Amino acid sequence: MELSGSFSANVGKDKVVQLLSNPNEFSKCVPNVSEISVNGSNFDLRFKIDASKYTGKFLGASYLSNINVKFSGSIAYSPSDSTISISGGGSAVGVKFSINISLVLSGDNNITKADWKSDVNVGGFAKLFGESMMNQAMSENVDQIISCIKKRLEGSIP
Amino acid sequence: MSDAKIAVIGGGSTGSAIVHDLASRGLDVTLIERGTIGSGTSGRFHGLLHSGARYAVNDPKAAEESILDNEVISKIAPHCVEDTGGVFMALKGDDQSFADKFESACKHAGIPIEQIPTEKLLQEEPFISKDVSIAFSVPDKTINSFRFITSLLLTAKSEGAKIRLGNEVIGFDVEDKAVKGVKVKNNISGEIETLKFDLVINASGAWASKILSDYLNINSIKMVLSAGTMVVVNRRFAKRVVNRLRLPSDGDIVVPYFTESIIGTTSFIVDNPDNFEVDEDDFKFLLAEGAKLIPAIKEYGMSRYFAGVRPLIAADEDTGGGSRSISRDFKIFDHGVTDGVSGILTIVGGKLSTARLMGKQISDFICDKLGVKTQSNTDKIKLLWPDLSADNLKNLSKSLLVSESLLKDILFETESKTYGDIYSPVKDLLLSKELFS
Ligand SMILES: Cc1cc2nc3c(=O)[nH]c(=O)nc-3n(C[C@H](O)[C@H](O)[C@H](O)COP(=O)(O)OP(=O)(O)OC[C@H]3O[C@@H](n4cnc5c(N)ncnc54)[C@H](O)[C@@H]3O)c2cc1C
Repeated sequence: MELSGSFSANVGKDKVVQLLSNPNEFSKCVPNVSEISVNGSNFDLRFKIDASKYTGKFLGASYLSNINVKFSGSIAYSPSDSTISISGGGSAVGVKFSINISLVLSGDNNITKADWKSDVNVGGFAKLFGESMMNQAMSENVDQIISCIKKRLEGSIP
Repeated sequence: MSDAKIAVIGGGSTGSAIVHDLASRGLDVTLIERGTIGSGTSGRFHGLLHSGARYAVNDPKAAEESILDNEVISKIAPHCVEDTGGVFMALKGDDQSFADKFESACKHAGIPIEQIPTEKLLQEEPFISKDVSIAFSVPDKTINSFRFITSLLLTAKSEGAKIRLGNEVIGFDVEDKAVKGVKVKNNISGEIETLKFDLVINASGAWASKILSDYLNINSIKMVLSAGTMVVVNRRFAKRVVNRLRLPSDGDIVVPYFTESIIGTTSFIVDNPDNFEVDEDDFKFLLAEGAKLIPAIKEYGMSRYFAGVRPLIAADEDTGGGSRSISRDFKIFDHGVTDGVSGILTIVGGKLSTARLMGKQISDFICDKLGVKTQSNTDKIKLLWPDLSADNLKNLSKSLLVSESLLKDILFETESKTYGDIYSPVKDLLLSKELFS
């Protein structure tokens, strides 16, 4: 599944690179992180997502309200084309997924535009919850993360 | 009274409760189970007789059903239940605002709930984390599923039911799109026979859709199999079941089960309930989450683990009006309506804690179909458990083919022999053999 979009933040490119290429900073915008370990540009994350909206379609599945997600990835920044790449894979409820995100940065010292594209492979989840529900879930979560990143960049949340 | 012959496939808590309910109404019923008692999910669960509190916030109907049968099962099967009580506790740093929602949802579902001052809790349960910030007590209990199912079956047997353990359904006898019987294989002798029935109830849990699709080409039940791993620590730390006060989530409970503690659970999707792998990362995760509630767990580590599988069924599945979601928790499919194959019903979902209720509901449905007016009485029938007294030792020894002196050693403690705990499972196993005698 491919998702793309762009956002602008009223800060210089350096600050964007600093935040997005540092897993410790970037993970502050991932919901309910319970564990993070960073080794250079590699990182492992464990976080929880509220899945009650999706698992609620199953009878008696309220025990699946909050699901744990495990993710291992790496972040790379290529200054020559101003691109940050985040890629990795993980699993939730035993179903594997992979994500490749690239963000191309442009702008001047005061405002930076990030054009992002992500390729998410959630095959198993689509089978489980249905394609349209997965699309909705992905775009909701991505929207939340992007809006958090923007706020953090602009300093409205610490 | 109907003279219909009914078969129930699956001797887990669901099938056993159905057999008891139907037999208690005077119907001719036979249970067919491929393994022994508890060979399915009912033998690999968390051990909880739910108070319903865990579901109160986001599945109030399941919560109401749980508290109802928590009380009933405690009355009809006291020998299977330990009244541990349960506590839901938030830790410093958890979302404290959840407490109000939780308390009012429990009250709404009719679950007795009381806030406990944390100092009092720590006095009563000294192993609990000192980081506890809010705590509520609820009537969670533990249930010995082996005893419960054995008791259901012994009672059903006394009511006239036939119990065939070690018999696997490997096909159906079908005439003109109507199921007329089942083909079973005796897993010990290898003998295959066809048994005639007027109605077959498929209560085979996680195996239900496979049986339908393999042997009847019925594919209308879309089931997702959700497995859960539980880690056992060889020590009991609390009198109560200890729950984390938050929305249901992995690693949120430590159940004291006899002398051990069971930490659970994780959730993962599997394809085959007979053959799946457990993620070893989950052991570390569960021990770490358990240790947040009871820090001493860190010192002990895992002594063993196990995993069970439950079927998930879409609540809004369009089955042409042939399925009934009587509850938010389980569903009954009448395949005559959903698939044009009569003589077979399937029941899926639910919990061990609500097995009696499931048994009652599907039996009501069957009795409606058969025109039987007798009402279910299973909320009042005390479940049988063999009486252990010196007087019936001789008979027991004869029926179990175990020498009287060995039986005496196993069954009775004396001052010098305190075998009670050691032999407890052996004792249960021996008594369950009454089913075969
Ligand atoms: C991880 C986990 C933890 C849980 N914890 C709790 C808890 O603490 N409290 C609670 O109340 N509930 C709990 N549950 C739910 C509960 O365990 C189940 O709802 C319940 O045990 C299901 O019983 P059942 O009879 O439907 O299925 P099962 O117990 O699986 O019984 C189905 C039976 O069908 C038999 N069978 C299969 N194929 C055939 C065939 N071809 N022929 C004959 N027989 C066949 C199997 O051998 C099996 O014995 C838990 C579930 C899971 C997965």
